[in-house]
Parts: sequence; structure tokens; C-alpha cells
Amino acid sequence: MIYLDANSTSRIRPAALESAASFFGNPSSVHAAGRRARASLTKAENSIRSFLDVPKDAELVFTSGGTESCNSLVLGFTTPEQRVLISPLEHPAITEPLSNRNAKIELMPLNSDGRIDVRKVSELDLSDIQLVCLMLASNESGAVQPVAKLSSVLRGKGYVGAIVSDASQVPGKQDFSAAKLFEAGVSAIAVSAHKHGGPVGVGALLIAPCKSDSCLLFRPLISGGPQQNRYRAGTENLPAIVAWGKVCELLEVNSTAEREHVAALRDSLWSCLTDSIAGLTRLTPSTGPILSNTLQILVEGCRADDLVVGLDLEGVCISTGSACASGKQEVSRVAMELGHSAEQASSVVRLSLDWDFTQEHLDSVVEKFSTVVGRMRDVDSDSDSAVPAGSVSGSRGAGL
Amino acid sequence: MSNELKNLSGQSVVVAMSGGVDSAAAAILLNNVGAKVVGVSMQVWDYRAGGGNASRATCCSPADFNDAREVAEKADFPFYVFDFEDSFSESVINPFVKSYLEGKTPNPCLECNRKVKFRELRKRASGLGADFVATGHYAQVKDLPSGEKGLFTGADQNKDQSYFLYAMKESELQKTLFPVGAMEKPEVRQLLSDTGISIAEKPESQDICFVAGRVGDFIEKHSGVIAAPGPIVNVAGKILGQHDGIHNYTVGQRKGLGISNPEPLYVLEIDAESNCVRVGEKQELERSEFFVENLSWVSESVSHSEPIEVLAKLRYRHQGVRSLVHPLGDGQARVEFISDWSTVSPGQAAVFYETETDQDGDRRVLGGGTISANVSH
Repeated sequence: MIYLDANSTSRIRPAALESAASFFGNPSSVHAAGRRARASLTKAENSIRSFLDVPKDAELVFTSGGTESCNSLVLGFTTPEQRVLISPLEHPAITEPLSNRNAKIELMPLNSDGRIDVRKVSELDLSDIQLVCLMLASNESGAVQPVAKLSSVLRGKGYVGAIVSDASQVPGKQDFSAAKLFEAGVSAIAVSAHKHGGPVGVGALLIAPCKSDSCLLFRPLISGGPQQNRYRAGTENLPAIVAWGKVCELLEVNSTAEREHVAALRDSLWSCLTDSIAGLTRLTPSTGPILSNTLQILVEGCRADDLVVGLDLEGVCISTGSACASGKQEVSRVAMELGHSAEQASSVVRLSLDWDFTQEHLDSVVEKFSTVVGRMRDVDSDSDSAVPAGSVSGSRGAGL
Repeated sequence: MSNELKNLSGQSVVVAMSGGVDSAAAAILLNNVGAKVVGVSMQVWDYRAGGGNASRATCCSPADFNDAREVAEKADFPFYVFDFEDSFSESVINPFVKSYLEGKTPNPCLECNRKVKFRELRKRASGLGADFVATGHYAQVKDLPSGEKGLFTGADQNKDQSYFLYAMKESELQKTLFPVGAMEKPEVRQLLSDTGISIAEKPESQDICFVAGRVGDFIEKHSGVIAAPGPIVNVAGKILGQHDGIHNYTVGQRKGLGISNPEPLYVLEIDAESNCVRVGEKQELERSEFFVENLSWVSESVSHSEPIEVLAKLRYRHQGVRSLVHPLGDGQARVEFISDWSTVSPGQAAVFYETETDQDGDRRVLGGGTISANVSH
């Protein structure tokens, strides 16, 4: 199996698994087991803070993952029925809680490369906007958004509401510094461990240091015990946090080299695919910062959901961009925002390379992608006859 | 095991899995003979958005997909849910609603088989490199002396579903498998039970899969047409009562008319134009002939001009009446009952079978058409 769906979840790094295996103890307990647990938690938190460049005076609140972190971003800083300004590309973990809170959602305009237009956004009337939310990188296209620039511009214009960013996809795949975003005026950031080789079930909410009396009030999503300075009640998920800490230790050392390696494979994959298959359009921008591992492609004449199945049957895991158990055909929001038709937007797939992707994988993917697309287009071109006539043995038997 | 399952080892087959017993058995049978099985459930209707009650739905609910998925996991073949909501809406639900509003009683399973399962699913399956599409229908595909493939009734006469498949073409049969068609239902349940599949005792689905309550309510909700009450009249035109919207009635219906009469009354005709339900006694319902439209023959080699003697089944589970089909061209035919007169419901399918069974006691499907509301051509 060749795995090209790291933006859904990446393969957990073996060292992380090992480090998580033997954990026991509640960090809040007084006794020896509790103290050991507390020490492990602190060590892991330090590794994570260091890799994500979280300032000492900023809060790092462990959560159950990206979705909880995103929910906290928007619910922690808003009250019901307020105006909010978000990009049209936000994940449902951002948009759904806002809708449930009856927020008056306004969308930021995009440029032709799929990034938001900072100048146009800064010209909008922000007077009673309670929250500005812009993902740091698109999970679909991999385009990194100018969050710091937008934040600086808005703060420069006197905007005092919350500015938040879902950075789930970024650490390990692009430069990431919470400190720099906070300096630019960002209020809070969501991150997730399993998008860069950590375990599922853990993420964090990073909250900017409070530097003046006019600090924004954050309302915790989960209340109960006094853990995590009351930002998030509940016993910390220690095995997962320790495993994530281990991943951050590794990435602190070799993240840059790994990213460059993966980006080179991604670029090579794109050029090999376009060499062997006609009618491909790259939606991942070719200029400006992008995630190192992501390649979003429009495949003319192929249903994206069928491509996913066809490649799966060949042992290659890709996705349409949004994992959906119900099987309902999803259209690419990025493609729609870029002005493609609904039919084209349902022909978009995402290839997101994991940290262990190799050149051998690449060669095999190109060959199989080509076979699957060719077969689908063949059937499409003679489908007017309703049924591909022919012998019982069939001419397309090589497929499944 | 059916002859058709032999030699399928290594062949790739997309099996349409509803989550029910029969399609699960079809997949297991194919998997057992070494075919490369790919299970596919068809998402045709969003119960949450569509207003249906998923727990009461008769198939295609998320719970049914989970049942199908469990079978695939147990037998270790890949399983996917394909989205057919748009084409199902266009090809099945919209015509169903329109036809009901015209006072007819359509059968949506026919259109689903014709346009969705054996056209769109087949196309997508071919795109994935599949050699065959299989379903859990109780019907059989057999070799004919002419070298063609023939469509036949299922071996289990109580379960036979060939009625719903009459619109298939011979060229489609070449690429279609009905693995349980040669089996009896108890054998099918036993097979699943032996394989350790928990749905072995799952009840039969009976109703229209996307309607979780009264059909009339569904029609009103989906079309936005508010039921307009109107008169119920006898053959002489005398008003006997009020109806609550013509789409709540079916030709041949006796119960629920709310009219007292010395002899039982039946719906004879539904006139959408005048919003009128005409009733009468049983003998007035019976006809000597009727017309069909959208006439379809399985074999390409059927004569399009000579009258053909057939056994005509006028609804699912009908025992059939000997009839003569007179093709009229333009997809239409006049069907003349040879012996007894019979009742027909416009919108339902008339399915034409050979008058004699084959050596196994199975009966060949020749074709069929939609019963027309017109009483004359």
C-alpha cells in the first residue's frame, strides 16, 4: 500500500509509538506515579513548545485534537449572533460551531492563486466584527495563507477583536512559529499532532500572551477540574502527549531536511504525472509558500470519488480532500472558489505525501494513476452506448 | 451453486450491496469462487436531508451500509459507498412523483434498476475495470440455444424478482450476474449463517426504499403539491363521496374509499385533469385489453411487427395471464388477453414471459412495458 493521504492523518513515527507504550499516572496526583507523570508531561510540553516556537508566556492547552482546538478557537472568543469574518476555505471544525452559534459569517475575498487578498480584506468594515479566522494553510491545496501579514495590517488599522488561525496542517510541512504569529497580533492558533507523524487524539490550542489590560476573554469549551490553568478541564492524555513530544524532538532536528526531501518528491510527482497524463490542472499554487507535501489536482473527465476507489483498488491511498464516511460526492471548495465548474470541482483529488514517501512509491503511483485515469476516460468516451458491449471475459479485466 | 458462478475465479465483479441478506450472499458466493469482489452500496437518498426516518427506512440507510461493510470486512474484500443521489433523484424520484400526480401507480424499483443500477453503476464499475456487475436479485441469466443470454425467473418461485428486470438488454446480461438466482431463500440465509454473518436473519425489505411513511405524504412533501380534494364518482357520473387527493389512490384499490355500497367498490380510473376518482364494481374494472408504452425487449432479435403470445404479469407477484402482444411501433403495444379478462393499474409494468417454462421449470423474460392510462390507442 502506498499512502498519499498524510493531510488526513500521517503515519505515526515508530519512536513516538515506543515512547507512549509504557505510560501510567495522572499528572495531577500527589504520589510518586503522579509526579512521574507530571515530569513526563512537562518534558513533552517543553519539546512541543520548542518545536512550535511557543513563547514561555503563551498558553499551550492540550486538547483532544484539531477539531476541539478549532472549536475552541471560534467558540472561545465569540458570543452568539455576532459578525465574524472567515476565509471561504475553512474546515467544518471552524464553520460548523460558528453556524450553530448563529454567527453572521462574512467571507474574505480570494486572489486567483487561492490565497486571500489582504488589501481587499483590510478595506472591509471591521467595526463590529468579533472574530477574524484564517487557516494558516489549506488542507486541500496546501496554499499557505498570509496570516501574519493580515493580522499586522488589521491591528495596524486598529482592529481589536480576536484573530485566530487553524494551523493544523502546517507544523512539519512549512515554517511554523507561534511566536511570530503572536507578534503579528494573532490571538490564538489550533494545532494537531497526527498531521505530522504524532498520534491521533491530541492537539493543542496556543493562546497569545496577555500583554495589556485589554486582553481578550477566552471562554473554555470544557469545564470541570482545574487542569491546564482551567483553560481545559480533564486529565491530560499523557501517552499521546508524550508521543507527540517525541515527534517534536525528532522534527526539531530534521524537519527542514525532511520537508525539502518531501517537497522535491512532490514536485517530481507532478512533473511525472503531467508527462504521462493529459488534462491535469494543478490547483496547488506554484508560487509562494505551500505545504511541502501537498498536490491538489483537477483530473478532467474523471469523477474524483471514482479515482479514489480506482487507485485504492491498485493499492494507492489518495483522497478528494475531505474524509467522508457517508460516500456523498464532495466538491472541492478550493476549485469552486477558483472559479471552476461544479463538474470540474468534483474531479479534484488531493495527493498528500507522508514523511516516509519514497522514489519507488512515486514511480509506482505515476504508473497506476495513468492506468486508472486511462480506463475511466475510455469508459466515459464510449458510454453513449450505455453498456460496453463485448465478450464475457471482457477487455478491461486487468483492472481490479 | 449456479452454473454461471463457475469460471469466475480471478474475474473482477462489482457487487451492488444494499445491506440486505441477498446481496450479501451474492458477494459471499462470488468471493468463495475466487472472484475479485468489490462491494458497493449505493447512496441514493439522504434520509436526514430528505426528511425520511433512517431507522424506519427499508434500505440504503447508514445502518444498512454498516451491515454491508461488516460483510465485506468479514469476507475481506474492499467495500465502498457510491453517491448516486443526483441521478437517483433525476431518474427515479422525480418521475415517480410526477407519475403519481398524474394518477398513476409507478414502480420506482424498475427505473432504479434500468437507469441507476444497470446503467450508471455499470459505467462506474467498468471505469474501475470490473468485468461484471452482480446484484442479489432472484433472477437467472442462462445461455439460450441461439447463443444469446436469456433472462429467467429465480429458482425460488416465492422470491422471483425477474419482474423488476424486464428492461434489461441482452448485451447487459452478458455483463451481469445474479448469484443467488439459482438458490432458495432458506439456502441463502443458511449460507450467511454458516459464514458467521450477523444479518442472516435480517427481515426482508418490503417497501419503497426512499419512502419511510405513507406514499401520499412523501409525494406532497417532495412536490410541494397540496392535496386537492375532489369528487369520487360512479360510472354514471354521480358523486358518491370526496377524495383527499388523487395521489392517495390506485386503480384497483378497494379499501379506504369511505363509501358504503351494497357491492364492494373499486377505483376504476383516476382522472388527473378533472381531479376525479371514478369507482365501480369489480367487473367494470376488468378489461379485455390494454396498452403499454416504453416497450422493451430483452433480445434484439424479437420481431417488432408480428403478434407474440406471452404470459403477462401485470404487477409483482401476479401469476400472469396469457396474452397476445401486438407491437404498434414507437415503443407502444396493444396487449390482448387471450382467455380471462383482467384488471390493470396504469403506471405499473406489464412484464412478458414465455408461455412455457424451460427444463428446470424457469420461465424466460421476453420484455415488458409501462401500462398506459389510455384505454384505446
